[in-house]
Amino acid sequence: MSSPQEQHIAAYREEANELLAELETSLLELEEQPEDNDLINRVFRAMHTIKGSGAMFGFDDIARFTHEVETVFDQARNGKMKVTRTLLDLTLQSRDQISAMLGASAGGPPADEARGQQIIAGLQALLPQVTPKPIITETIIADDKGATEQICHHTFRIRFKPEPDVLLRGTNPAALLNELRDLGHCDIIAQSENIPLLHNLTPEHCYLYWDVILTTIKGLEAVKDVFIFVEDDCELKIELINDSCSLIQGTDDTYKKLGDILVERGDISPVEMQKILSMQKRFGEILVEQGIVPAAKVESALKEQQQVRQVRQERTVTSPAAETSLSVRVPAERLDHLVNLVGELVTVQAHLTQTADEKRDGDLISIAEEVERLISELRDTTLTMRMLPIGSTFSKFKRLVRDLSAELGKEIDLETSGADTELDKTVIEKLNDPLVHLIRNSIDHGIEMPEVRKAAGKPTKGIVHLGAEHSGDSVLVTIRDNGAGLDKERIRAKAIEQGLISAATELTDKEIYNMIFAAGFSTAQKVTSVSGRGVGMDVVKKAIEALRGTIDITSEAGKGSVITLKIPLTLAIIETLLVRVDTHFFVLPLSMVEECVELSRADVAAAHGRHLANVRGALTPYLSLREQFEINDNQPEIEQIVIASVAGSRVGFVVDDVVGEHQTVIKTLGKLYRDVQGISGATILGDGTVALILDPATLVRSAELAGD
Amino acid sequence: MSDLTLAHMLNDAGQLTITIGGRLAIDTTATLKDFLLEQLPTAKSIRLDTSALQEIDLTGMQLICSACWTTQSENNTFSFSGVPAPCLAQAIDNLGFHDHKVCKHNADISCIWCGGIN
Repeated sequence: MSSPQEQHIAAYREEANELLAELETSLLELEEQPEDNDLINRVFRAMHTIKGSGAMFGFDDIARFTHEVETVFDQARNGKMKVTRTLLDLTLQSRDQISAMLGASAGGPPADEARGQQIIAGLQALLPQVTPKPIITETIIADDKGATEQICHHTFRIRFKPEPDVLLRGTNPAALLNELRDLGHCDIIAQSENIPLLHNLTPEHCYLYWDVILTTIKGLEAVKDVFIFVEDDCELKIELINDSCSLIQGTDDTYKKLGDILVERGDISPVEMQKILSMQKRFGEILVEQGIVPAAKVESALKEQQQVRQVRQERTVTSPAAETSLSVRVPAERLDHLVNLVGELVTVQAHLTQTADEKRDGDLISIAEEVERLISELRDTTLTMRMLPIGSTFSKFKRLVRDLSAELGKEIDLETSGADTELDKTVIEKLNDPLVHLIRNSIDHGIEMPEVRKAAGKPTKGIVHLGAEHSGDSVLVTIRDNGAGLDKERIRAKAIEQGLISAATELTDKEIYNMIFAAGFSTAQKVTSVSGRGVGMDVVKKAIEALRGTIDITSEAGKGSVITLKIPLTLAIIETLLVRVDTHFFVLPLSMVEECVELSRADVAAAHGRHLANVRGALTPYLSLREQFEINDNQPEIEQIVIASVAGSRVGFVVDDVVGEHQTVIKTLGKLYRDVQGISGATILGDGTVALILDPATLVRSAELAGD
Repeated sequence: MSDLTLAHMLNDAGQLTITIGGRLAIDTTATLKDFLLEQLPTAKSIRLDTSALQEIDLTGMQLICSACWTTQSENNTFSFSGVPAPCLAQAIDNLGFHDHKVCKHNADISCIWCGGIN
């Protein structure tokens, strides 16, 4: 068992990775809606949490780096900087850098420090000349022993009105304002209403005064100290208006209304406020229109409102109370262990049911049925716990499309649908690489260059659509693009050139499209950094088949292609068809099985030894598991053909007997058997017998190769 | 730091372009004030070119504010020309002028510091 500190560090890494994913998603959304303040706040909060928690758990490098990025985004949040493509590019790069730093802390390769410096330099160049400090720099600090101490953030409202001759006494108000800035986050509004007409102006006099909203971890005395040498030469009012550690802090993240602030400051009277409130206009606008207060005073009050609300919002987000919710974070390996245990339980339950049936004991059968019902519920609940929305994977691809299309000079949008569709987390993890390959291919080969699209009468911007939807016990994941579509002639010519088919071979469109899954096959006219080396599509197909899934392509010249992946919901427990050959048991994924028909010796003789069965007039190829696994004894007179759909074709598997449907708990084969072709795992039956899980696609491929 | 430099040009339409350079601070502001007072009766509009300015303090900022208001009060216009000097942009930020949107003296007109009255 690891120490509490190690557990906290692991929890931080996990949380930081989630925040980085959220950060990336928010940044990409922000690119589409750069004025959206909620998104800007989401970005800021993600960085703020990564930084704050990083400092707490000893990730000082991450805290320092993130602080720099956060500082820039704070400017955007305060409306002092626009969200530009450059800012987003740099922030996305920062996200990658933080990810690399996190990886390095977990034993991965070291993060490129020079790259980090470049990013920071780039970000700093975007900053306006004066950079206010972030409102909250550190919420919690940790001592050497890991103990933490909460730091309070005080927000002060300051009105600083120097005497007119203050300048002649050698005091520079601008220097005092800078001292305030050194204390924390400052919003400073100059009030210029007392500046007279030119004829009445004494150039050496100070007519300006200032309203300042300061949020700082320093106390009142530190603020007063700034004015210690001018307190006799000015009107000074310092009020504490918010304190994150005391009762002054409100219970929610709201703050006073604008009118209340102005009344409290003495800028308007309660009567004036009531009068204005009775008019249905924005309060600040009316005040200015009526000439009751100058715009700068309204602006100053709004700043106060904004800053305190912001502090309170941040506190709400980062406070321990906010972290207490109805969900519990559980390490993935514990869930995996639970699923394994449930799998064992399913096996034991099958044994119990079988024993009860054999003994014909009514009481035992009744108990076995009750246990079966409970375990079935437990199994469903446990598997549901590992289900994650596929949308978490989708968000990564937005970044991929954004970066690749920029690299290739193409204009491409990624659209997604069905992001809420849930899949087992293991399946989602294994689906990532194939999807990356497929999307890269769509971008590189599918979508045309803008000028080509324009010439073809299409919009210059191409669309790659990534969708997911449930279909029975599977999920269909589709990658659709509105690009050029697959070039059948080119694929066919290339296949002939590579000796995959002969020039005389007649192929359906689907068979031609399936050629792209052959190892080393590529029709790309040039190899790019993105794709074209012929490595990928065969790997994709193998990866999908390893998930017990299937892949299908349709395409229309000039209009685009659709690739459909059919993926099982889970990899832990699947519904199968249990079959027997002599004393050996096998299971086939039930989702692939279409029907079962008999095969007599006479049928075999009628086909002249060829492995073809006449099923209602249609010739169906089959392969014999007896031959495949060299089982020679006790061949029955009448065998059974289990017809399955493999890569879009009907293929039969000849067995002695079809036992029936079976709930299969998948066990992986040991290292020694990892490379055995045609078998993807094993399962234990109720009586302890081992049944092998067949991999129909590989079996068919092996048979085809052997036939060649 | 150099002293304040002043150059001006009045065109036939009564537009006075004043180019200021060097240092507009407590010890030089009076010079610009006197010059402006001298020119105001004849100028229909004033354009202030600050691109050569090297230093400005709050007295200089107040003076420009006052000149703007005074010009407006006589139904004339006041604006900047050329690229504002970096020291001016910095003073706007340092002294808290950057958040002004509407000037009290020129209701409904954007404040000169925010790019208004041009």
